Amino acid sequence: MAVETTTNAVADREQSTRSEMPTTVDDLRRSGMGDSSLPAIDVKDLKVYYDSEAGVVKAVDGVSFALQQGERLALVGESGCGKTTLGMALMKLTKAPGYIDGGQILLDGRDLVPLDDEEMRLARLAEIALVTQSAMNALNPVMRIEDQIFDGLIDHGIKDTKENLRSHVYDLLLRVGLRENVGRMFPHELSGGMKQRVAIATGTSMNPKVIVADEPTSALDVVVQRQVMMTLSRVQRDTGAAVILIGHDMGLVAQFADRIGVMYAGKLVDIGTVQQIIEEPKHPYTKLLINSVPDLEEKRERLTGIPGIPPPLVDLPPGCVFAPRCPSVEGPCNELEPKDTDIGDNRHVMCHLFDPDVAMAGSEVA
Amino acid sequence: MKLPNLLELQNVTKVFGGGLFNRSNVTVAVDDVTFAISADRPTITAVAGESGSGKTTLARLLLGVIKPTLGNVIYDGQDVSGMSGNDRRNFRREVQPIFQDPFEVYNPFYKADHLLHVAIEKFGLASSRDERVQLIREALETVGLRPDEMLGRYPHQLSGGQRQRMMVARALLLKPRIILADEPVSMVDASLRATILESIRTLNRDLGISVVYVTHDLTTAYQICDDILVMYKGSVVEQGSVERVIRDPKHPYTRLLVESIPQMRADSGWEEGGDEVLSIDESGETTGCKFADRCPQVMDRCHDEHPTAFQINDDRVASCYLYDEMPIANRAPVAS
Repeated sequence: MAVETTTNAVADREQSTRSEMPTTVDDLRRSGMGDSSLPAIDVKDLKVYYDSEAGVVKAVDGVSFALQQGERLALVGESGCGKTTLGMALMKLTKAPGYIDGGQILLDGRDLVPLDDEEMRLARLAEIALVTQSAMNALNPVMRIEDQIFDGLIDHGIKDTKENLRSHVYDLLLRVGLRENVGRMFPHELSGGMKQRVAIATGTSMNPKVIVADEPTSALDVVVQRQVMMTLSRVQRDTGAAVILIGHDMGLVAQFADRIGVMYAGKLVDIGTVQQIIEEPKHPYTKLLINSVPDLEEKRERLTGIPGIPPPLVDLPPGCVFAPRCPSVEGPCNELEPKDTDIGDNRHVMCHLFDPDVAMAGSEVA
Repeated sequence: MKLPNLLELQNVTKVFGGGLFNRSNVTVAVDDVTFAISADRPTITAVAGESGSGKTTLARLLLGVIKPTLGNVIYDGQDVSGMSGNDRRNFRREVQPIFQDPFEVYNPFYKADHLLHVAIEKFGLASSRDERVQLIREALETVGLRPDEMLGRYPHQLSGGQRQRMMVARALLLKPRIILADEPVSMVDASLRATILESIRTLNRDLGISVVYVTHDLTTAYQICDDILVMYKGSVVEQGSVERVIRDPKHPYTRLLVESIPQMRADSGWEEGGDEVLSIDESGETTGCKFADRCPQVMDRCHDEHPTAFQINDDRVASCYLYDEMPIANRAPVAS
């Protein structure tokens, strides 16, 4: 009797989880977005630390942002600013000695942080997918492209006939601008741009709510880069997923994203729409960053970079992390840590100049 | 009177691979390229192209590290491959490279400035230790580094930008006439890129050193260069003043390249008008124009015969049949 109840309970639980998870290709085609009143992803005070001999490395230190369905956010910053660490943490792929020290990653209202390995495995690809930097290394060299895409689907509980799976994969390939015969090919038969498109097709094979794209075109030539980014745009528009693009090329992110988040030494110091960030940069770091980008508009008399180098993340300066390099530095900057200030229009800046509670000679508080 | 060109490539072709048993597997990395750096005034010339365009091979030919399969590399009126003894030594000093990767050029066991000391010793530029240190300090200051912060440090203690600027300082120490920079900023952050390019430009402006800037990045090329050579699969498709080539590209490939540059502007997104998905497929061998497969303005003849270079105006040459009413360029280099 007791044994029976247990099996029933297990069956019930399986039933309930199954009903939410797509099990056939038809389910996948039908699966739309979730509750549209909630942000697709809502990151709250996320901290990713690494233990090292020299101390705790605060690679991502209290980052918060929210992204609506279909919205595209680009995360930019110098190398070592924590943008890739943040992207990996969103996928919960942080490797030891790194760990998520606190915060929440709310995906359609559900927090990913407390999920165990198996629950997270199921969430990856189905709900939040990653398109990596080097698609060349993400593909198995001895498997046909379609088999690699099947693998992901089958592993996430899709049980369907080979024919249906194959027709789904062909749809995916067509959507990224590849002919269906690519499905029968091996990775070495494809060019770099085609492989990156395969990675996009794989990443979107289960209609995830969020796509994390970590420098998806950094290994590609500029012409192919444009094609791949346009492909990603199209797929994103078709599926309605939110995209987090991690990049360092300001031109590229300006062309692709709706909003830009500027990271510095593990903190999100400035976040706003592309227009706000490029045309009215607020944070002194953003200003310097924008200024250091050469363009085709006019020849400049002088090219200016950002003086100094980012601080070591184990030994952050007290107060503002950017203070040692900041041209607008004042007394409070070296003592008091600036807090995230909403300056209107959903624009957030982490700088004392915009904080009404801090007395600064150069204060820009309206 | 026209001065002889400082450094010149005359119909240079470089073929890799092939060999006795494998005639089919050859790569023509550089295909009949002619260009020159004038001795009249110091210039910055960009060699631009995507990966596989042959731009690095071209740079290595200019440095005399590899020999052309056909054609000649001429430095100061002399064929580089035939140089010996003092001439070669002189060439080695007067044409200085700056490489892409500021991490690999240093030996981690030596202090970073070891590299500068060696250069001075090899060419006997200083007679005493004090003089040597003095030269090094001056060179570091010229590229915007503080000698006290740099000297005695190991490579791992320096940032990528500092290391790369130290390479610029090394090149500078030898008082070269030409600096050949092969993707000098592709491995460093955008914020440092500007600083390094600015120090290269200073060498050109203030010290009269000519620079060949090999890059895939047309934006930085536009910012610092006078002239540009656009390469595609080993051939020069267009060359001329950077202002004209970027503002008003003539060759369809240059046009595609310029259109593809992501510009940091808030008013134009790529999505608009961007639903077409272009094919990335390319076939290999052709006797005609190498760009014909991808060219939106392709004509029948493009597949048959490789177009020669046409002189579009006094400072611009393009290898494309769209301009075949123009006179054939006399292959005299266009360097200003």
